[in-house]
Amino acid sequence: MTVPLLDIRNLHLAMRSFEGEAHVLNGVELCVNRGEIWGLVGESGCGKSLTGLSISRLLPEPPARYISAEITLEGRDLRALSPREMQALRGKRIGMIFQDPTTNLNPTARIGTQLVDVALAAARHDPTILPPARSRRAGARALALDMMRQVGIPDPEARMMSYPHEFSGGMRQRVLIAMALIGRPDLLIADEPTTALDVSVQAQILTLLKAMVAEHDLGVILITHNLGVVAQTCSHVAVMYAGNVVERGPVRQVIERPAHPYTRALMAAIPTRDTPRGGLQGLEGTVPDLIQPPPGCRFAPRCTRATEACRAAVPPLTSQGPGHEVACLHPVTEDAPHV
Amino acid sequence: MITFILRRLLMLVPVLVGLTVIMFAIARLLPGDPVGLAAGPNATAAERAALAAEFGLDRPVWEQYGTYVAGLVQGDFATSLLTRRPVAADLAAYLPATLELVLAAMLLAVGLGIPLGLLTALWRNRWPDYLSQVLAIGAISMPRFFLGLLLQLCFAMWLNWLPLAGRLPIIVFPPDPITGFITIDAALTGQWDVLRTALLHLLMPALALSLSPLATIMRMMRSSTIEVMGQDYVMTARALGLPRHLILTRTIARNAVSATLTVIGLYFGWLLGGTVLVETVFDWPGLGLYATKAILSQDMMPVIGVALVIGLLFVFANLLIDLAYGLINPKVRYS
Ligand SMILES: Nc1ncnc2c1ncn2[C@@H]1O[C@H](COP(=O)(O)OP(=O)(O)OP(=O)(O)O)[C@@H](O)[C@H]1O
Ligand SMILES: [Mg+2]
Repeated sequence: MTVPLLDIRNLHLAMRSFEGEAHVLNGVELCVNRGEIWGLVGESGCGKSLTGLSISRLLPEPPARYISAEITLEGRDLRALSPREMQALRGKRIGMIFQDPTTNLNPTARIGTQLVDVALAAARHDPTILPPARSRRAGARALALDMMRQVGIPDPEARMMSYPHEFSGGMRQRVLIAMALIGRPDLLIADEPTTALDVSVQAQILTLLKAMVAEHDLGVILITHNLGVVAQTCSHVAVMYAGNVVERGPVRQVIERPAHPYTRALMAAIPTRDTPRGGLQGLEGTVPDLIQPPPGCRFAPRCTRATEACRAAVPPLTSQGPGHEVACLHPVTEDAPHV
Repeated sequence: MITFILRRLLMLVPVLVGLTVIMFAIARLLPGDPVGLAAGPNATAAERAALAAEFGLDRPVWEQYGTYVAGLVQGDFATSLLTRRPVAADLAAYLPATLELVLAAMLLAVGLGIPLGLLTALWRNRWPDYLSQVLAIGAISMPRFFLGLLLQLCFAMWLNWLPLAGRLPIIVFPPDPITGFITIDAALTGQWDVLRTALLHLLMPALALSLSPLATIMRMMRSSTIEVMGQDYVMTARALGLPRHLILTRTIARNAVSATLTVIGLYFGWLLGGTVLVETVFDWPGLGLYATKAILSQDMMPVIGVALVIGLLFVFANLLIDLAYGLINPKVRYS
């Protein structure tokens, strides 16, 4: 068996805030191989972004505190790296794209400068990414132009001289994708890359992402709220609830046979023509208090199938089919009612 | 951009009209007897009347104002009652000293305030930060003339490191004026001894003048740096693996400076006004000292002239700052 690209185990994270220390990640498990696009879904506040940020160690400690974490990138323990070594991986092995293209570009620097800077930073660790040129800077410029072309920015020569506010939202998101991919990363973490964009631009960006994955053989974590996006774009999906991955597996399996009661409720909440609009269907109550979380399955208080055993200990991920795992003692076995 | 500059220069007209009107009104409303002071205690009534007639002071105010403005248009700032010299010539003679002092103070305030603000933001909530915050509050709330006196006491009287006052000792010949700034002229003509002496004389008044804006710029820079460090694009820059020094200069400092620049613009005007006190304390032969002496003898033409020059400089300084702001912050491109 080959070493997975990214392997997260036992990720427990606490965040300090005014009210106290919240146990926000409660043993996240995630495993990503090259060529796979993992959708990471779940309600707002369930810890998707924090999982992404934990991988490249971007959370300041404090307020963050890791209770335990095993994160490996092709077998290399990321938690054991020095800050320098970690910085060498960012942009180079791990690329990140964030949600809001209006706030994630430096407003006072030209697009070209920003791309060239990232290219130069990546080239310090791997000069082979630069095409042959008279100087490193010229090489970085050529690479930046090439990348802008690849992500579909028209007239890149002229656009390099523009500032971010002169770009549309979709174009800015393309710039961010170009910046994330310019260092030829192996793993791409995209935190809601299309949420701030309108539907047609969203579709273009997702198509672009898929093309980039196919071309560069990346592993991707795509954080999103939108199950439609997952169904269209991802090969796999991991469902999070209150700091836990409660179900994961190939997209088809999970969507056709969701085994966790929470996944089921999440799917039922997708508004289709036959279902009335509203909140999560058949789900009473709210996300548990993470400062003093209940022991056991965090979904138990809202779950109709919960038993004493559920409240006693967090159920581990168990196999539910090929590659399909669920963290539930009483998984649902019937097919999903729709989709 | 040209229209932007022209529009801003047009703004000068109301500023100048306002200044002259206000200054004329004050000159008239002030109780006192400028003619009597200028003519001296032994002058006869006829002599005083002659003096008043010579300077047009027997005319109605609106007529005096009209004559003055008519002169201004041709660059004539009227004549000093006391010295009988044209005010324009005096202004030209005193302006370089004031500008040298103000620019030196500005250089100190910006050159130290910006890096200190950046550093204290990076050291936020550790003791060097707390210490500098306390010192900054002290510096802002201390009156300038008092600070000047303290500096004189400490560095000139006790330690004897720096000259007490003045721009150059009488025994030193100033270099031939090229720019009018003694330091720059001395450097241009290669008179290094003079340069050294001039710099030593400049240091204390510039420090006294700059400390409060320095502290304000530092605090402003600190808070905008902290704000910028929380911005998404800084996180993105880190996530993309940019080296620390690049994040600090290109991402953090640049954006924080653009927010701080507006304060710097305001302070230039504040410094120009502040020179009056500091020049008096340090006997610095600039516009401030000139105006003070004129006020004491109720000689209003020089005072009006100084107010006009400072008003002009203020408008120009703000124009320059706005242009610089546009350079740093591409979103503000003069519309
Ligand atoms: N800086 C912070 N300090 C304290 N608590 C935080 C901080 N950042 C996030 N949290 C908490 O951690 C939990 C998980 O946050 P996270 O941002 O990962 O959610 P998310 O799943 O990405 O949500 P969304 O879909 O809204 O982006 C939330 O309950 C949030 O309140
Ligand atoms: Mg999020």
